[in-house]
Amino acid sequence: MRDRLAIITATLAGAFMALQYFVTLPVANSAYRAILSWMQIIAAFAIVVGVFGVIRLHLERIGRKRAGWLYSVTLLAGVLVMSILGFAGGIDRGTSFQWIFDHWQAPMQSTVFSLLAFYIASAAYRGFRARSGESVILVLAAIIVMLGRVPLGEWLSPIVPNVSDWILNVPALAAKRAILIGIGLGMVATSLKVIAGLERTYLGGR
Amino acid sequence: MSLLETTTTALLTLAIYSFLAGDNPFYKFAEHLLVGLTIGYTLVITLKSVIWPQAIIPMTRGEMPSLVPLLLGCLILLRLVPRWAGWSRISLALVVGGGAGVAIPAMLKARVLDQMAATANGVTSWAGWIILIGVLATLTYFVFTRAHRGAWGTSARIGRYFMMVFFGATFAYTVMSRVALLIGRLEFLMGDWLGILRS
Amino acid sequence: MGPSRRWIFAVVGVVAVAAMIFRPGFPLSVGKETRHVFDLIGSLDSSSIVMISFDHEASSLPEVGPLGSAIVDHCFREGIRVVGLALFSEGTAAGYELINRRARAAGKS
Repeated sequence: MRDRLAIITATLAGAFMALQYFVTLPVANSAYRAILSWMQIIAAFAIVVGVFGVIRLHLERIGRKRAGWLYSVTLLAGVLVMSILGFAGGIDRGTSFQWIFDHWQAPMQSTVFSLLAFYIASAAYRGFRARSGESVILVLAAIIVMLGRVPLGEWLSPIVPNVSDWILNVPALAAKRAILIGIGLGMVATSLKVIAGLERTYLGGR
Repeated sequence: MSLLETTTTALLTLAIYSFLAGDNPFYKFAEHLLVGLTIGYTLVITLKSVIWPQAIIPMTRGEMPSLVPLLLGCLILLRLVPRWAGWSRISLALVVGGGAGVAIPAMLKARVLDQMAATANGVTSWAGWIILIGVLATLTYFVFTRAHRGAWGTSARIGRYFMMVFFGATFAYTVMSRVALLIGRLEFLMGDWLGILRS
Repeated sequence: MGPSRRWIFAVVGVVAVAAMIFRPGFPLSVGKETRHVFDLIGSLDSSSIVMISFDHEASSLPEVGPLGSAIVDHCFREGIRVVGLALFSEGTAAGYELINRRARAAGKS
């Protein structure tokens, strides 16, 4: 009964949102925008659920003194500090909330992502050693595009940036377009299955 | 920025870079702190900039339609109660179904029809013909209901070569963006913190 | 983790640090796309508004931040108003901060 209600909701919402694209009635348009904003609010509540899920998991780890429980304390302290500062002190410029974002959160995130500069170099090294026709094409394209985007490439030869542009605008674009078309068709097919009630994995379980 | 401020940032940065030498407690501490701060940040921003202004405030003004998303949002919160968790599926169905509905015309237009139009209209030049061949060859590669043999197989193989060029270009951009991040962090460590860089 | 991997890490680190200390001076030229954006903003009249989307997380600030600053600065030089938006929660803060900082530098706030 409950699941049937869910499937009917998905079908009605999906059919309306898709058909509304072809309708110019103002009523349909404002209903479309209302449902979009509802979806945003529901997604926000889902984030809250996710946050509480993580908090519960780490409270459990602390409670049972599992390995690394002290790290869970660190994590929860981070959540607590940000929440208290954000709700009590505000989130505007000059607040402690913003200070932590600027001085701890943003730099740490950027450091984590920059770690990949090291790992990608070691992956590229292994890529160089795996010699097949395709990997040679991949590595050559990568090298030319990289050189074309930095001053060194132009210093080597003015042809390098032009070749790099050509690679991006012709063969890479062709493959990208085909992949986009494939993804687009796949998403349309999946969406139709959701609306028809054939795709039910979002209900969980099966 | 004062020295104390930059030092806390620098120590956290170094703790994360310590992972290059292998997993260690400093890295684990920084990692968990980062996840905690990010969760707290997301929670505050979500409540303050979505739920509060879009759901709570309209309700206090007595706007009846605003009760619907609030109710659906509360259904999602039931996920936290195992016995009633199933009710959250109704809200989820609205998001998934509505998203599917929005996706059909949008995806069809932006990802399929517009791409096909641009490819077809581009054949006024040599590059346009190469793009057309590349698109068709790559598409044949993705047809798995037919064996990749004979002419079809050749086309699929050409498609793979085009894709390798694309992956190479994407790889190049990833490398450059990650190196840009590394340079950003080094500029902070050596410039803002240690002050050994000429500006 | 094999020793060869540590060597690669070391090489990446040393090269990046050395390049920042010794600053090899390669000639910098302006690319086609960059010039295109520059000219496009330059061709707008002063009643125009440029909308900039900061759709990135804080993690990519060192990469995307300079691009954002360059465009915002150019708009302010041309006397064009700027509207920032973001679909990422962290992009909101990053974009807000960036526009404010550049506005202060340009004496606009």
